[in-house]
Amino acid sequence: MATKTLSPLRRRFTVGNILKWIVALFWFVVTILPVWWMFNVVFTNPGTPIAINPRLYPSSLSAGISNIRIVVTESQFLRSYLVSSAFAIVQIVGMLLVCSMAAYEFGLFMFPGKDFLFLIALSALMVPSVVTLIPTYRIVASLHWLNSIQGLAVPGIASAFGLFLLRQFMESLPRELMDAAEIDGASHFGVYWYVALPLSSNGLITLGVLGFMFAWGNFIWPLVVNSKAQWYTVSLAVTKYLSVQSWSPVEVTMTASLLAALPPVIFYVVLQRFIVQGIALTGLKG
Amino acid sequence: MSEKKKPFWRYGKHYLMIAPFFILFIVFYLAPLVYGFYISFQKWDGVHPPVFVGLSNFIKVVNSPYFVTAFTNLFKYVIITMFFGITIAFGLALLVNRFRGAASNVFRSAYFMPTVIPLFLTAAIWRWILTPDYGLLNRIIMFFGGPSINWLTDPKFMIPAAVIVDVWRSTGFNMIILLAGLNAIPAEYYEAARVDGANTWQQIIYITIPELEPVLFLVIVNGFISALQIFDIPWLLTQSSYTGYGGPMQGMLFPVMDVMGRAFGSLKFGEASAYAWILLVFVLLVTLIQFYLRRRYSRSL
Repeated sequence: MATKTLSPLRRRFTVGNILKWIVALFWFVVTILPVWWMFNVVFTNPGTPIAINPRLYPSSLSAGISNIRIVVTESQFLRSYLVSSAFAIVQIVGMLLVCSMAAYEFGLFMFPGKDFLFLIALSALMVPSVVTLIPTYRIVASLHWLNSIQGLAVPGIASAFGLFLLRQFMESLPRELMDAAEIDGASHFGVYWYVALPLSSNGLITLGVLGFMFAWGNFIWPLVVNSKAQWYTVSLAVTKYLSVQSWSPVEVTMTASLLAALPPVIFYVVLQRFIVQGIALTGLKG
Repeated sequence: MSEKKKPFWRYGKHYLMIAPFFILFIVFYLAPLVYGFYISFQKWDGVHPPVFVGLSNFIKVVNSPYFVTAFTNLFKYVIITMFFGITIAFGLALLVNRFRGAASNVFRSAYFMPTVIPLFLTAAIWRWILTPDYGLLNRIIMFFGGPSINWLTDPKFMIPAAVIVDVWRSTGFNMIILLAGLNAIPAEYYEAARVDGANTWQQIIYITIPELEPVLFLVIVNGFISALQIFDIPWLLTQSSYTGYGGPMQGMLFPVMDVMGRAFGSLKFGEASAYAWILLVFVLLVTLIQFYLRRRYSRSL
């Protein structure tokens, strides 16, 4: 109440306001600095001593380009990019299709056993993934899917998280619209495909982006199923630089990391709205 | 009219639509879950036929020194990281909520950014930041006159190091959920409180926290479930492999790492499965306790 009587200028410089900015800027530096530092390590001449340039700003474009050239040529880094992309695409397409079909039913219709089945699916969110990891590995091995894209992608398609997220979107669709389409002669699948799916495009994009983040960032599953270097995902290719056997200097490791971070960061910058919306939605209605 | 009176087969179209999900779900989730439970009672190296050994896998796991270390580390880690993680995320959500327009968007985007970076990269970046003497963090500490800390080799500092990395990456995620919850609180509540003369702290304690309770609870439950499964960061920070993991004196050894080592390092799939099931029961217990405490606590509210 008291602030109302102050002039606009005085109001901007209250103690609370200054403190608010200091704390906000401090955490801004905390979150940005590690990534900014990684970027600077890549774009600084490796010979420059830390005392002269503490890697707080980029100083050499050519050093960065030569670092990138080293990573791209000296290992199968580009190939791992392809493997990770194929993994992500197969998993996302499968997840979007399979989860949206199930979410359509769970969100809009009644059928015997519905609640029970949904509960079973959701219980998967509570079970540590390591519990099913070893047996799933054995199943994938017996299908002869080790060191393959399908071995990487298929086990993750039936995602409980994806089902839950899309059901939240499907639930809010007007049921009358589906009934009207069905009366007009559309088949059950036709209504899903031509009416429900286009209407939940926001949910599909959200799950697609989050699915990409999960697949691209997955480390433990590729580690288990893809042991051959030619089937390394980006996560395995980058972490190879971290292993004890690796003697790569820090700027090469950071270059590999930077290249690996590019796709998710670009996705985030472009599609931020969907990511934030998706996380907020699953959080709020859970 | 009433859907309940339809014969069972009339629902066929619904089951057909959920079938692809549940077929994959059974093959790659439910079957492995049951199969893992079965393996945990067998002695099995993955090559020779499994032999039934009763509870001996569970007994072996619980009595092994690594098990005690891993769970002790886990306790310390989870308690510290949950405390700081939730407190900071809540504080940041309140903070970002007090900004308007561009500043609010910039801060929110920046705070969330670490969550977007894959875990394996977070570990790669922080491995160098935590390096003794030359690492960014130690240079900052030394700039202010502190000592250089061996974050990744001194067992005293290895759990704090794992906490720092986890708090850095997970607070943004929790902040986004809490922010959405904050925005759902009607503004009239605050106006009414201000009319009654409540200050900012009183508003937080009497309006924000009770109204946000369901969202906070979800963030906490979810935070515990993922913190108890910590793997990528300590595994990569300590340059672990199937044959050697956890760092010096197992200072960064956690249960999932131990499961992986026993399975794919020493090929003791039975022991590893038993270990994983112990962790599962532990996670379920922790979750149930939280639901129980919430019910008890909210009754007295």
